[in-house]
Amino acid sequence: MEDAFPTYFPINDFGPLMKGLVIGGVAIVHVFLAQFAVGGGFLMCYFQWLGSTGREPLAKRFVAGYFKVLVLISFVAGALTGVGIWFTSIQVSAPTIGAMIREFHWLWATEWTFFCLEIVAGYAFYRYQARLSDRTALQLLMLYVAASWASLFWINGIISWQLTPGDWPITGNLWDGFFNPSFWPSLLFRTVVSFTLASLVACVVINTMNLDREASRRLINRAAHFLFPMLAMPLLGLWYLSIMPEDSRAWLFGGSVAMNMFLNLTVAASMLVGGFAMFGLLRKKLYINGATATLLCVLAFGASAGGEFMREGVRKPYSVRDVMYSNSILPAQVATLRKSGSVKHDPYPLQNEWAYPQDQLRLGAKVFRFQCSICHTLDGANALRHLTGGWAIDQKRLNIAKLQHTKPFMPPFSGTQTELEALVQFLTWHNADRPATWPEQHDPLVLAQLERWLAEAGTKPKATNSTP
Amino acid sequence: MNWMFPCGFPWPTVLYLVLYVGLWMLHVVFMGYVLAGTGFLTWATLFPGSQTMPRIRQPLAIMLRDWMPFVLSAAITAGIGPLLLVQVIYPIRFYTANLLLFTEWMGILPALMLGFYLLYVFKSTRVSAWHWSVRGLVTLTMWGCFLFTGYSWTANHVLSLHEDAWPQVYAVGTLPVSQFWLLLRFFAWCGLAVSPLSVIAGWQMRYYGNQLDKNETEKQVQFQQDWQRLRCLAVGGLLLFVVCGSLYGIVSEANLRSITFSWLAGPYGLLALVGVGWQAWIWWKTKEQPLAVRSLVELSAGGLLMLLGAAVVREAWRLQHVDLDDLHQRLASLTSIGGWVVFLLFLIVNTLAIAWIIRTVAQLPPAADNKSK
Repeated sequence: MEDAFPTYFPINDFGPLMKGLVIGGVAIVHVFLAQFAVGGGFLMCYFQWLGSTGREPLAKRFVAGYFKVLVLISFVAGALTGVGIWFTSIQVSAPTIGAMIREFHWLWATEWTFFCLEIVAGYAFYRYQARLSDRTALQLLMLYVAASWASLFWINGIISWQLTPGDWPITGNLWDGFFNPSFWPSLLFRTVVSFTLASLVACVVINTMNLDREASRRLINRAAHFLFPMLAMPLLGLWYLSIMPEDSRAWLFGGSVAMNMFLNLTVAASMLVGGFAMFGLLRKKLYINGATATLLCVLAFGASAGGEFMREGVRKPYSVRDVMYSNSILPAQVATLRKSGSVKHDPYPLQNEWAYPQDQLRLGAKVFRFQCSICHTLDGANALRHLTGGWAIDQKRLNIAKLQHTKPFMPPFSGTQTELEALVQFLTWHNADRPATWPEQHDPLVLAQLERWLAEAGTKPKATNSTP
Repeated sequence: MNWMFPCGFPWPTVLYLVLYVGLWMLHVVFMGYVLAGTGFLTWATLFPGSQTMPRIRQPLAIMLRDWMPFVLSAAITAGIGPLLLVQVIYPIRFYTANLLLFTEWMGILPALMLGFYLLYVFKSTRVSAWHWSVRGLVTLTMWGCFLFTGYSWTANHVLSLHEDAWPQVYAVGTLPVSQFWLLLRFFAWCGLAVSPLSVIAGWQMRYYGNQLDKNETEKQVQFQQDWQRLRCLAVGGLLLFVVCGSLYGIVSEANLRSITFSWLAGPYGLLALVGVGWQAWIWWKTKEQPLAVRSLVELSAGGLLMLLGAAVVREAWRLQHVDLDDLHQRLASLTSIGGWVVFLLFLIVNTLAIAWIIRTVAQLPPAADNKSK
């Protein structure tokens, strides 16, 4: 990962969609379904035990209905959105997913063996449950639970490494990266979330079982036992926040409006679900109908969505902390690219070269594509038209030259002063609605000023105290 | 490349390539069942036949319909292993092909999801009451979803080999090879896909056939008819594989063709042909005793040889495009990364657990409704 030059990939334009939103959208759906599958296993074990010990006469009927939902939703959509995350990650940043796979491929393969076990155990139970003895049914469910939670265990280590790689950048030791500082709080938090989701979905399923109100209430109260661990959520959340890098924490607490909003959304939605669970379901033992149960699931989905966006967002300016910037450039490559140019070796032409009146704009478009387009669009979400539209041309030059100082969650600009000027001209031309003619600007004084600003900004990020 | 695959390569390269080829074969077994099986279901729905019982309600179709969602799940799950390893062995090629195909490639996700849910829809009892044209539309759509997925994979693989053409493909958006060439390759794989289906379905028909009551003569006749259909399908698949595979080789570049006859891949190409011939012979001669275990074992062995041969020839063609020194160096550098012991440990533990599950459910008493199947 110490190559002097980046590997160039063909970069696709997602139109008005910000790539982070796309990967975030797929990831949220997958995480929600996958965590439901994990918690659902635990919940079914509990109900299978209730049924086989005679504690709850309707337990087995519930397990059959619940497992059908789990198979139809989680085994199908959950599994495919999991593959979808891979494919989308490649579209967004092939170097990032490539780095993750390179470092953790054996652990990822280990996770895959558990996933295979999870699928086989799940389908075996689903297909043969009517013919299984109580003991065998419970054994199958326990295997399913062990496999699905182990799957979470392995994946959690890999994705938490992105935010807190711990000693890994120094030692290069796999286990330093895997058991990184946020591993345990993240794993425990996700486990509690999975219990919560399983319980809330159970309330929906119970309402579809055509039971009388008293029987439904009894089952709902049983399922609500899985909401007890929510009491630990605030502590686990604080633990997670406390080990987060200081600058990442700062984005959440006001440094970034969007991140702060996601934090508030997550906390508010979690508090609503938790409050209803603790007082309504556990203390008062209330019955809830299907609509209320669905609403609680939607709130939980909102909380998960906020949490996942936070996890993606607080890593900035990195995609892997201290290792790779969010635009896939390695910190060690910045100095080289400042001298040689960032797109000089890019073999991919622009897809619509004819649309640019002159070469400087074409160069600017290529610089935008390589350095900016992973996170920004031109006119859609997080658009540079909106972000830079109000800046005068010298302001653009200064702000982009000192990008990591302008906005500390941005990586440093990684190109020559000529490329920087080309990018400024490209943005200005685009903001002026792309006129048919646009003069090239090669003022030596401007270029000299840009060189000075780039030198003053340095090649290191502003956001971190660590040395990349 | 003067050695037979994987000999002559450094051990890290051998490790990753053998693991990849093995896992890829496992995926193809399930994938073949789904691709060819949904094709059969589509045919059986659209052409119900003139008998009292339409083909779709006869034993083979019922069995395929019943098992298909699980096998698709197995195909997707088994596909994750090679999908992971291809990113380790050929990361730049795989990622670049993904990016260049973009929407066509990403389209396989909704296609698979739609196909998956349609399998469940098609399995439901309510659907059997629908008009055959609607059911035909359902089967055509789900088969189309899987065909599209297979075609996208083929295009992805071919594109990943043509490194020199990548910038041009990015600029103009057209593939560097002709559709005819691509379709030949795709149809060759479709032909190969029939082999796992026919072999596995053969075993399944034996299992269900043995549970039939001897007095159920109508069912016995249906089983016999289905067996003949399976034989036709299997031989047709083998023919498609050989014809399209040969044509594909003929129209390919000479240096690629030569790799098929090199020491690296030649013996495996021969194995594939032996596998094809062996299967064809067994299908031909077993018309009188369709469900003998010996015949099924021989068919399985023939199918395995064919698949192994085809898998290695495919890999050899890819290796012809790769800078081998760079590949060896990169894979050797991965050996310093830990974790393989953990993988090996849990591979064994989880394989044993899966074996226990299969053994446990295999020993269950037959369901009350099995006879109706």
